[in-house]
Amino acid sequence: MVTKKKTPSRGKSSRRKKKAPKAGGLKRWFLILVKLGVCGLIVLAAYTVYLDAVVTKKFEGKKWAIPAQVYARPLELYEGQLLNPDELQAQLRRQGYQAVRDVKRPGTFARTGSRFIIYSRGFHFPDGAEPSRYASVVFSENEVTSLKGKNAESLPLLRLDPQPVGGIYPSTFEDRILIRESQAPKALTKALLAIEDKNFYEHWGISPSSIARAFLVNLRAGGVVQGGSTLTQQLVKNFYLSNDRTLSRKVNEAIMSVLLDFHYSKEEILETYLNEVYLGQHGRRAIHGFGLASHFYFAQPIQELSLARVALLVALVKGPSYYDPRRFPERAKERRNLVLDVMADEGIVPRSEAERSKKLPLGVVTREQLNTSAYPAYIDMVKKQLREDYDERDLTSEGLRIFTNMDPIIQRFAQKSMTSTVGQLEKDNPELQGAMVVTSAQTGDLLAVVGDKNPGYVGFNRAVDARRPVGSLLKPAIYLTALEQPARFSLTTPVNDSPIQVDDGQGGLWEPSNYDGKSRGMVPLQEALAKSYNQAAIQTGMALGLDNVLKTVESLGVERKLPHYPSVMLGAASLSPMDIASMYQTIASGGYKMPLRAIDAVVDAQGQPLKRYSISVERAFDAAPMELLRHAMGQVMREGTGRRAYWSISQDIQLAGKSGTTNDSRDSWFAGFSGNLMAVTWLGNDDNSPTSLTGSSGALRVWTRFMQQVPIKSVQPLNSEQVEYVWVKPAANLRTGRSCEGAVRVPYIKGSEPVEYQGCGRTVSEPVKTLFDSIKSWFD
Amino acid sequence: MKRLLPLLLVTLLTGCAGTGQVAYMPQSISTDSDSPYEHRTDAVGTLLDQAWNAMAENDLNRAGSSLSRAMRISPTDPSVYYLMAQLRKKQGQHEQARELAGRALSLGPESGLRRQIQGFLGGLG
Repeated sequence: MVTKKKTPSRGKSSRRKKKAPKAGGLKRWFLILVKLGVCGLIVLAAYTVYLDAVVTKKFEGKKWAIPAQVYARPLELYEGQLLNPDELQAQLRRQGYQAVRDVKRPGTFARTGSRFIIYSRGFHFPDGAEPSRYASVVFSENEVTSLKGKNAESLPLLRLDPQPVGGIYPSTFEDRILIRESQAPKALTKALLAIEDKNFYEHWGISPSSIARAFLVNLRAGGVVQGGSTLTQQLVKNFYLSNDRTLSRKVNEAIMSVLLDFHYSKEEILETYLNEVYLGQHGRRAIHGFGLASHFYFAQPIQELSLARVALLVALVKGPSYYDPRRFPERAKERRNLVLDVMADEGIVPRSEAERSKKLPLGVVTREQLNTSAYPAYIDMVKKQLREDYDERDLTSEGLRIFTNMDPIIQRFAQKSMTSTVGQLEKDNPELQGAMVVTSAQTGDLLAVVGDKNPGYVGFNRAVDARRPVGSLLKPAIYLTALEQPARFSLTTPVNDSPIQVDDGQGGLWEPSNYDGKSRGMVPLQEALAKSYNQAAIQTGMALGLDNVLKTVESLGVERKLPHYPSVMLGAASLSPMDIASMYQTIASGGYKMPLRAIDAVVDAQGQPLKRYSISVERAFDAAPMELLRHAMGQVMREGTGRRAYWSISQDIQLAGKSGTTNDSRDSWFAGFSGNLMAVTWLGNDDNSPTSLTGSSGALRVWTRFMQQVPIKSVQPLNSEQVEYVWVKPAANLRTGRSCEGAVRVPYIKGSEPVEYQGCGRTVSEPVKTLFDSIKSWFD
Repeated sequence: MKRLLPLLLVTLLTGCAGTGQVAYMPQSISTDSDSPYEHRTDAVGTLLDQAWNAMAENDLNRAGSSLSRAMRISPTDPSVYYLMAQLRKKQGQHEQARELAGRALSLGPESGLRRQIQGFLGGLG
């Protein structure tokens, strides 16, 4: 507009030099000038109307695309819960709970030995609001023995707020957590205005006087502490305009600031600013708004911030990367203290409080502690499941809240077990990689996913995407098929561990051998599984029929179609750790097939539940044959390829599992469960080159290290009226007395137990009931 | 006693007491009476009580949430699966109701509860 006015006047003066204007000409020129002026005003008005539409449209519509926020499963405390108190403390710290002497506010805790006082934060869960609670928690070793409320009343449960563990970001990678102006601490808004725009409540969006004031303030402070732009201008610049420093942008900024100020209240403008402002960077993710910045720097909700922390956030507005408290702590502290000084000068806080705050450390959590996006493999699984139900756009912009089944403590132990074990094995296997899946043994909740030996690695997720030959992991399917035919097979039925040639599916013959190259002849079925004899497995599988075995594999939960070769029974087929987890889940839960569930519930930005992913169960196998298989898999752990687990886990705990090793030790697998947790571990090289590891010397070590660190319970026998336990000599497949040497107690499906009896000597006799046997049977 | 003794021993040895396996079994659910779990003060009992009351108020989603929480705390408690089976029946999911009740039976419920579950399964047809 300015240039338009100047052009004619310049023309006028140039003509004046040529000849003196006539009086009529002067009038004509004046009229033209007026017309041009009017035109200019009309154009200006039209442009203002246009800008007005731009301003109001964006401000009244959906202001931002809000990424979906992903939460871990909340920690629930209750009497009888098995939990290491140090783990509780670590988890509280990860969630930004402040250790204090006197617990008075939500988000704080105190610990004296085995006693905790926790003031939990309130949280809106999919099933409703959980209020903030004051609780006293007492541990005895690794068990919660007492949980009481503020007035020592007994408290059945304490549900903490869930830990945020990641987000699903749009292509801009802008992330924010919206807050209301009323949620921001009063000191924050006051300090922000004192530093950025002292005249905010008086000006009309722009303030020529503040430019002058800023100059004076800066002079007095000996540095730049205050900018000339109003908060409204800053908001307009970030919210509507590009970052270039042209004059036309400045003009737009001024007009739009006035318009914004005209249309909206100061509170609305301030609230938008609080949510818009850029305050940090986390890789590609841009941290916007004070709500998210508070979590990003302190792992705390903004309402809980101390004065010093509020001051640091205000300090960051000027330059989040220049004052990055993680990279330049000195610089950040200096600026924070300057903000505190200004706050004292302006009377926002007492001088003494500002001085006290200046002495405090920055209190910023480390990136490791921060943990968001520290679990990329799990988040990857969550995204895969979400994409089946939601559009990408909704996931990245609608502010959905995703509640997952990830157990942050289990996830950390799983990753630690993988990282440290691979670290030990790397000497002989420098390129070794690994993956792990952990579920709740009874419900199929997906508790942890590890996709790489390094924590936080974003990239190839081996737990889901690495499909590798599974070795002996399918053998339980062979023997389960057998045990479903009690007329032919029991756990002590001799199976044939001798050389066999079978069709290799490519027109040739294939002759599998055992790991040590020896054949054992006739061996009891459970020993064949425990010691993982290949020839016995393939002989049994061929006797049952490949089709039947593959049907069992499918019924166990492996959805991928497997090729129809006999070698598949010995694990020539490639599956992912997640596929194997589905299969072993069915065994762990006693024959009930259930989908592995990463997501528990999804709610919209207003907290309304959109979808629940409840448990669904389907009986796939009868309890009796399943119990027999689980018993044999227990033998794997007691006497077979899994026995090294008991080097570090108590013999009192009943475990079940199976190892897997492929040709030339290219893959080392272990899959197994305790009564409460099921875990699958895989180790190998990405280029499929040989390692020095078997399933027992590699993957089992990761599995065992994990199981020994987390609270585990015994596998319980399944309840079936079809099963009875009999004392036998397994190698001879004969009944015997319990006190005879070599006697073991084995479960049988009724009617399939051996009939012939062998006493403690070597003579076989018809079954005779001795007095001892009668007494014994009372206890069986 | 013959059956109880090993159970007691196992409970003592594993130190798992207190996770909600209180030997009280509710009578059948009907919406016009009080929750049979009302007097329970343990975590699972409290959640079963919440679920029961939510079902009585026809807030089936909330009932489902409480039962999921109970299941996480005590995943081998037959009474949790049984109440969830009743919830599924209320939601018209009879096949899931049957499966969940079957699961409850497979977890070795005490005889009173076993009879109730068998009756429930019979009622599903």
